[in-house]
Amino acid sequence: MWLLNKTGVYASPFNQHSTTPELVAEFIDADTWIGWCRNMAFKVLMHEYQEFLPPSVKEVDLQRVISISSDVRLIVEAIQSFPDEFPKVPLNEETLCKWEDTPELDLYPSSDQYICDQLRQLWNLYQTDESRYTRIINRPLFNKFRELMAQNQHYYFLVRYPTQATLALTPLVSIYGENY
Amino acid sequence: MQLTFALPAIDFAMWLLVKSGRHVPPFDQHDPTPQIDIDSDLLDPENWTEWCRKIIFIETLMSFKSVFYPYHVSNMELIAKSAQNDAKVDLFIRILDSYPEHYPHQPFDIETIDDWTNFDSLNLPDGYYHLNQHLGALWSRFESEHRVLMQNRDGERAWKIHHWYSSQLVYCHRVVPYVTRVKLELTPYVFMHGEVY
Repeated sequence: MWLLNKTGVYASPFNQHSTTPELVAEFIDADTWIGWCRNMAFKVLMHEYQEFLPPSVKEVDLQRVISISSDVRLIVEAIQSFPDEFPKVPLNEETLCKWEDTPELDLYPSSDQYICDQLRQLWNLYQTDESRYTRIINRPLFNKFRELMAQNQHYYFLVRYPTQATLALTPLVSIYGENY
Repeated sequence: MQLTFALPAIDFAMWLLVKSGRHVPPFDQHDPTPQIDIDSDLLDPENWTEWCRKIIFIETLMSFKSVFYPYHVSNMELIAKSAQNDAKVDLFIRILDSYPEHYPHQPFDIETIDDWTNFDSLNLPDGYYHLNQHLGALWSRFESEHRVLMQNRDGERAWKIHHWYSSQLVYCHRVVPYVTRVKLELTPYVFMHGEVY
């Protein structure tokens, strides 16, 4: 989201920031940016899945844990809501390790060495800006987001944005932009 | 309410195996040169495994106790209802149910819970209580070496490994430091993991 803001690129509904670029990353466009976010969201969910469930979990164990824990149910349903090309539950060790070991910056769609190098440089730049970018300045808005998450009906990723805007990555996974 | 108990006895059992140079597959990757002489078959594979199994049973029973003791330990209906609403409770009920016949099973009574959780530090299996004094004398050496080991560890990695294993909801995964990554099944729902950290 920082990169989208800084490059002035729009990916609807994130189209309320300044279009004047503060930095240039010509490989960023709406579709690949959304694809990148979707890949990163999937990696996060893989990690969450592993927190609770073993690789190649038996169906009977999976169903029992899902019936007890709404957190696990949402994680599993969110994973299943990704497009067909993504792995499905139950996940085996090879799949989980592959996603765990792949850095976020390498998940950029159709990435090549040039893009990876560019992203790494931009990442360093972002880190100098990170504390300002993630500091909570509006506690009620942040709390509102937490209440939304607590409903365990939809998996949201919170990002800072000038206005409230929600981008669906899958029917159950969204990026929630808020000026929190 | 504390739902996960970790007794140091399991680390002691692991330390003793390594120091004695004895092997219990898959914990058979450490140096076989003995640094401690143990004149007992406690470290034979079957007995050492039973020792670890017993320690984890006591840990799990302490979790059970922390939720249901003293008034509800025999209330099967309430216990089943709790398990339906809390995945951690469901897990430790399944762990206890997975133990062999000679372990206590539900419904528990207060006396059984008291007997099993009023443990000594070593939690030796039946028939090995005579070793209490000899092994007890090694305990302080274990504690000081274990403390040094813990201090030398990569703290963040150790925390991540422990967090990962303790948050699991399908099986009980008990982690101990070891020279390589291995996994030993103690019951269908209890696994002991050696991890490098």
